[in-house]
Amino acid sequence: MMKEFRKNRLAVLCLLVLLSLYGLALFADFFSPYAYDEEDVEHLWSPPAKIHLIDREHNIFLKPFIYKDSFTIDEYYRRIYREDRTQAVPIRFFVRGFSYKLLGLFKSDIHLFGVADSSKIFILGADSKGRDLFTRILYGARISLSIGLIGVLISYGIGLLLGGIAGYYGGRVDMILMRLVEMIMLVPGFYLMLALRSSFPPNLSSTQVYVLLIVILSFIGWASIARVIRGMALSLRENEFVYAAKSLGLRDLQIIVRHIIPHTFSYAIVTIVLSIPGYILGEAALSMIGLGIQEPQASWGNLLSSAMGIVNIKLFPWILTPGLFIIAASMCFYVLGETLRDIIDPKRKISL
Amino acid sequence: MSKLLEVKNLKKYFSHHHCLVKALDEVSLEIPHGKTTALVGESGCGKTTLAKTILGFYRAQDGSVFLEGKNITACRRRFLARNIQIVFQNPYVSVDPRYTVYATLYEALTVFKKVSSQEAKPELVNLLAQVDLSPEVFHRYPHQLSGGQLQRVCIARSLINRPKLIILDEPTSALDITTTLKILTLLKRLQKELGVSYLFISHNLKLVRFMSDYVWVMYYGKIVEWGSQKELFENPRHPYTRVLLDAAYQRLTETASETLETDGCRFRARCTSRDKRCQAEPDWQEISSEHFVRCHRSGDTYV
Repeated sequence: MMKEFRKNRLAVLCLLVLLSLYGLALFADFFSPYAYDEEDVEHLWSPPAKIHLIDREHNIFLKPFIYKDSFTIDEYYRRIYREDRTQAVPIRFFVRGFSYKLLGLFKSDIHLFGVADSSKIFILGADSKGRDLFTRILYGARISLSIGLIGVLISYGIGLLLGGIAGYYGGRVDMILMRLVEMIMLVPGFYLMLALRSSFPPNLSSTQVYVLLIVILSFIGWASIARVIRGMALSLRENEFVYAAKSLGLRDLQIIVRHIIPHTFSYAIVTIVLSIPGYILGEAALSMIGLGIQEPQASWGNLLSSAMGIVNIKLFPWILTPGLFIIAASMCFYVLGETLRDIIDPKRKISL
Repeated sequence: MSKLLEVKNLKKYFSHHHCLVKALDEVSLEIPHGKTTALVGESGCGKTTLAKTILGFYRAQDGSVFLEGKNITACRRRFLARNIQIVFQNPYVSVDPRYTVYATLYEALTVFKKVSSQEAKPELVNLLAQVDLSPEVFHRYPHQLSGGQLQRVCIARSLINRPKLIILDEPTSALDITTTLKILTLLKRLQKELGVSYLFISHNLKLVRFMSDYVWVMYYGKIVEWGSQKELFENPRHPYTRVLLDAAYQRLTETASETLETDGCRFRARCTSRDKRCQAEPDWQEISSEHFVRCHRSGDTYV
């Protein structure tokens, strides 16, 4: 199976991209030059820094550098940033900056890169408050990517168990559970999300909102998985090993957990991977319209909320980069899921 | 003969596309202690349904099952599990393919006993020895075992809680002929050692003759004849029994017919010696104290 996976170059690439995204999110403190909420009035809407290796006199440097920039204000009171070609600021690596706890364990203040305190580096530009977009994307990845994983695990937990129960018992239990599933599936996902979110108070702490988002997304997500698992359980329960387990006196829940649900895993793995983007997008949608993660906390969704006006997009196009991260992460999960599905061919793998 | 299990007027109907299928139509059956009772009939005649109804997998519409005089029709599964076990036809689908032999047996053991995996080992080694398997198979998965080995594992699993009755649902029809003989010999030996009773479900009358003490013949949800093995094989009275016996020796002696009668004698469409009386439901006729038949023509002499 690993062999087949390695043969698929695209899938391997996607896996690497995802792993590096999760790596960036996990070590965001180290990779980001600034704190996620560090504001700077001198650099409101500062464009992405141009990184140079060759200076005005065509000297080639081994170390990259940027030019210190300054702004003038035009007739529309807009800031026009201009590089000051006389003041080169070298980019330094492993510099000391704000202190943090790596993985919450090791105290450190080393950052991957940075510039001297007199200047600032915004490799993906800055937002309306002069906060570094790159930093905020990394911190946002923590929320956006973890919501996907945790949300999917919770909803699959519920979906597997309730689907298993519905399929195993059949009859009235099945009837009730499946009607419930249909009720959830019938309401368009986005409106259900809005409705659920609006039933909670709007001013919650960021941790509460985070947990709430996971709960909302899982609540919507378990229905479809429960329906498929129920179908599989319906056919699995006719297996003689299930009858054997019954005749041995095992309890129903033991049979469902030990002998029914594990047989749906090869299917579940594929759909788990395929459905993670849904959670990432769900969080992004809620946060973007301001119902999810609140400022100054960053998530890919609320970073995009500043890109809602066409004027902003035209003037500061770099504020769309969080969208590229969302697209990249979602696509990688899709490709990975599709590849897994091809490899775990039900006809070849599952011997029901 | 003292009765271990008694099935009384068991009815199990399935509705299938608005059509009522009488899988068990007032079936009564007796299983004595420490003996092998065979249940024979063609596939689809309700043998397995009867087994599953006895085990409580299906709820019967009517009738009851008694275990040593106690009505167990609505009994809980855990009570039944201590007394009745089943061995299925295809061992490869009757153990969870994701479990090793050890895990399969350990799970069965822990249903009624709280033991750690380590403590259970000597007991499981003994158990395997009883079915002529060495502990080497413990850490194998089902697909790594031969059909015969795996069926021994299934037999070991069914013995684990010392049941009084084991239902053998065509236990050898997925095995080859030499393995079949070994398994049946093993089962006979276990019966002698443990005094366990068997309900041996089969359509192979040669094996039934080898294995059983009593034989019950079933035709589409009805018992049509029963008797001791000796009587039934030497003096079969129901034409269906004779058809089965002849078929076991590669002789086809029936009228080809796809019709299935729903009243009177169910077998009459296929019967070579039917007459007007067969329109009515036949009643039990006593041939001897251990041989009964349900045929209007049982008194006639057969050629």
